[in-house]
Amino acid sequence: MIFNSIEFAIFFPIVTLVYFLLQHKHRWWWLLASSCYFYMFFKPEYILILGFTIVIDYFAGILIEQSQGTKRKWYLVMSLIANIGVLAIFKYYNFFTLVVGEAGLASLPMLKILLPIGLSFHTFQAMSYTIEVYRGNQKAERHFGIYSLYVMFYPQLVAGPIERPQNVLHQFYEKHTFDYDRVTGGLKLIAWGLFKKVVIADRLALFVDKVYDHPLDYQGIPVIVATIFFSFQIYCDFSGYSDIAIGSAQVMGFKLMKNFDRPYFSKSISEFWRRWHISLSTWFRDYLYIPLGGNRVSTYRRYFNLFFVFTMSGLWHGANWNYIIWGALHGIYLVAAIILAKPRNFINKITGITKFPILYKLVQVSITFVLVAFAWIFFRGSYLELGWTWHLVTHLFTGLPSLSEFLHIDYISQNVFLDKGAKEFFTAITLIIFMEIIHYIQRDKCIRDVISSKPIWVRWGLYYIFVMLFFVFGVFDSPAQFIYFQF
Amino acid sequence: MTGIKKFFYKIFLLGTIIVVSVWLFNKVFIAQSFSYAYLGGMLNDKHKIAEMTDSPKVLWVGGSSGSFGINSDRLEKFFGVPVVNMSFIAPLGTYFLTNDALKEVRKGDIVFISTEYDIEKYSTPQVIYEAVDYYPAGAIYIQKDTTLIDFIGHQMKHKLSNVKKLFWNIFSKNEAVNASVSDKTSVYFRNAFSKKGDIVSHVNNMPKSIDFFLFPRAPIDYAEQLKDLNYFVEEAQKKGAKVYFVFTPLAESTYNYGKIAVESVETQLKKQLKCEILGCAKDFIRKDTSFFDSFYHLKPATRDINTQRIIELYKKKQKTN
Repeated sequence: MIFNSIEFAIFFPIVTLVYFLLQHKHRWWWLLASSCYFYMFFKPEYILILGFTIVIDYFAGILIEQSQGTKRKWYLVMSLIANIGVLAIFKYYNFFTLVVGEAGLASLPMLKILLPIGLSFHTFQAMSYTIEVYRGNQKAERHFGIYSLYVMFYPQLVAGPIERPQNVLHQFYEKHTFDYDRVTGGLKLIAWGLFKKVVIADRLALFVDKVYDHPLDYQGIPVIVATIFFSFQIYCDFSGYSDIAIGSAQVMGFKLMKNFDRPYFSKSISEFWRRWHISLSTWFRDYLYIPLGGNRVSTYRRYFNLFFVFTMSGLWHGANWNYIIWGALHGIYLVAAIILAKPRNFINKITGITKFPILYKLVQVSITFVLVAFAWIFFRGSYLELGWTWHLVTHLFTGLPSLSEFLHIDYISQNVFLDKGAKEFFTAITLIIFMEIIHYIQRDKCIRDVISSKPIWVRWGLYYIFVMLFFVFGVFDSPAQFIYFQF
Repeated sequence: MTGIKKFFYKIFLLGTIIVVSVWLFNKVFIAQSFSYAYLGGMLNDKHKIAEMTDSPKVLWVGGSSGSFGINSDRLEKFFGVPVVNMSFIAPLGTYFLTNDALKEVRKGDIVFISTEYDIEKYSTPQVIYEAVDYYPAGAIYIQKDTTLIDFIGHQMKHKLSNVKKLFWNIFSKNEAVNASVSDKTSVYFRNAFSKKGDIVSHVNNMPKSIDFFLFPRAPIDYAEQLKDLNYFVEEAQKKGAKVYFVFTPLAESTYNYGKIAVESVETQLKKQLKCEILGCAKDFIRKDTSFFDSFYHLKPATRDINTQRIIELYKKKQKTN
């Protein structure tokens, strides 16, 4: 079931209403049953895979807690192997087979299996549980139902945020009452998430798909336009999903972690990763980067750690060279940022740009955005052969027009508006600006709180306008999948 | 439960305001666009023409290939009776086209039915809901949704698409509002037809580029469409009309590309259709340059050649009978 479907519009109020009507002691099974239904809506049999890892990790957690010394480690390793094993079979085996085959090393049979939806998300969430129990930060959960719910809680089951047991598990024991402000706050967050997905992301997709579905037909300006639009499409798509997930949980009284924090306002790549898909980047930080030694190692080892962790992050997204390159590119950006720190400071000094803070910030934000957008070419190209993505990258600045050519209406219509018309193009641009203005306002205070403090006629007027904007600008042709579902 | 009553009261109130607004905006849009809407206008106007025409008459039934493909004046001259071109558009489906046209069949009529090769039995929801906005009698031809969710989804999508159109009409006037037969750009608007129902709005226009390969390649199962056609034939014959099937015009490149699909439909029609068929599919294959904006839509000049071909095949059929 996807959040932007009519099915979910029916599912969510029913589940929430029954949740509040039930006694606290019965709520866990209701949520678990609802989460099972939510997951089984995609492909019912894949719940068995989820069940397999749940059983393994549930017992692994108890055994880790009850054991001492190397035994503890073995139980953790067993749990990690089970989780990574599932990922390896369903997500990486065919890619590995292909790579080995192409290298002429062996000819292994391909598996005819589909990737279970959201596999990487719930596997990582499950792994964080056993690791935290092993580290002694979390007590092993004895209630099998509650543990299952920790992995399967439907708002964050298929696309995160990837939660930590310390944040979520205890919440299933807490009694949540109906709180008007919390419920309406959650609903507003859901509405904002839906707006970002249905109105902005799906509208931008019309432009992006035109170029990326036929990559060999395009070069220069259209590729640049489509790539910039994709940068916002993926943000609106994924952060929209996270908002709906966090909002849905909030309505029922659960607090999930923040997943995005206005990432395109970042002044550096490292800041970008503190603001983008926070639950995943902190997962890699806590469970891979720090165990590898983090920053407290030699300079070259630190470079390796950064590069390795980000390449792994690319691989986490998909078994595909495009994702690997995307992750590696971010690793390179971060290493380069460290290496080039001194020359950068030198340039800042001789140009004196730091004396103009707003301009300096604008330059930093712009450079970061350009770097991130460039890397998105590989990410979006994951549907394509690597050669086709390479064509887009190498033809990014090919065939650029002269100023007189550029100003010709036919050129703009074909290459900037991508044959979608000026109306569609400027609507898309306006919506991006609208969203970023909202983000800018939100830097100090939550806009929902600002609206809540206004008189009723202003609030209701704004709600009404918001809903009508949603209806007028939303793309409702067919509910489009969220991009991150495939991971 | 703090504020639960307040919550439901407010949700109900906001929901009601929004539902009423959407309903109201739909009403305004339909009223505003009725005078120029192509599909809705065509359905109403062509029925009016048919109702006002005395029988015996020639009635042409089918998709838009008929609106572009026949010269009703020429047919009228040949048959010596009035002609009504009741061709609508293929996306309405055979169930709609045949049952709706049946209302206008009278004793002594000569009815030609000509359905496109890739026509479906039922209309797509967005097309039929739009048609029904202006022509409520068409509601009976809407395919029943399999689930309540599908029904809600289709209704919502349609109502919201009307709200969108109304919004954009504020900023840019719909081209169809001021369109006329004499202008050189507009084709699809309410007054695009002659008094007999032939489309004439494209006479002064430049042809558009056509994707000749947007056509099926695999054999087409025409069983459901054939059921509608045969029902139409039987009912029309009961009313005392004579029915003929005519193949639609098709571009040469499209034919070569989808030959298997065309031949599969032709075979099924020849085996199972309960009326006489004029000629064969190949008789109506024309050069790509004969088409205006689709591989089914003939240019004005080629329409006359197509009409002449139909007359010849009709004559031949009469001789062999």
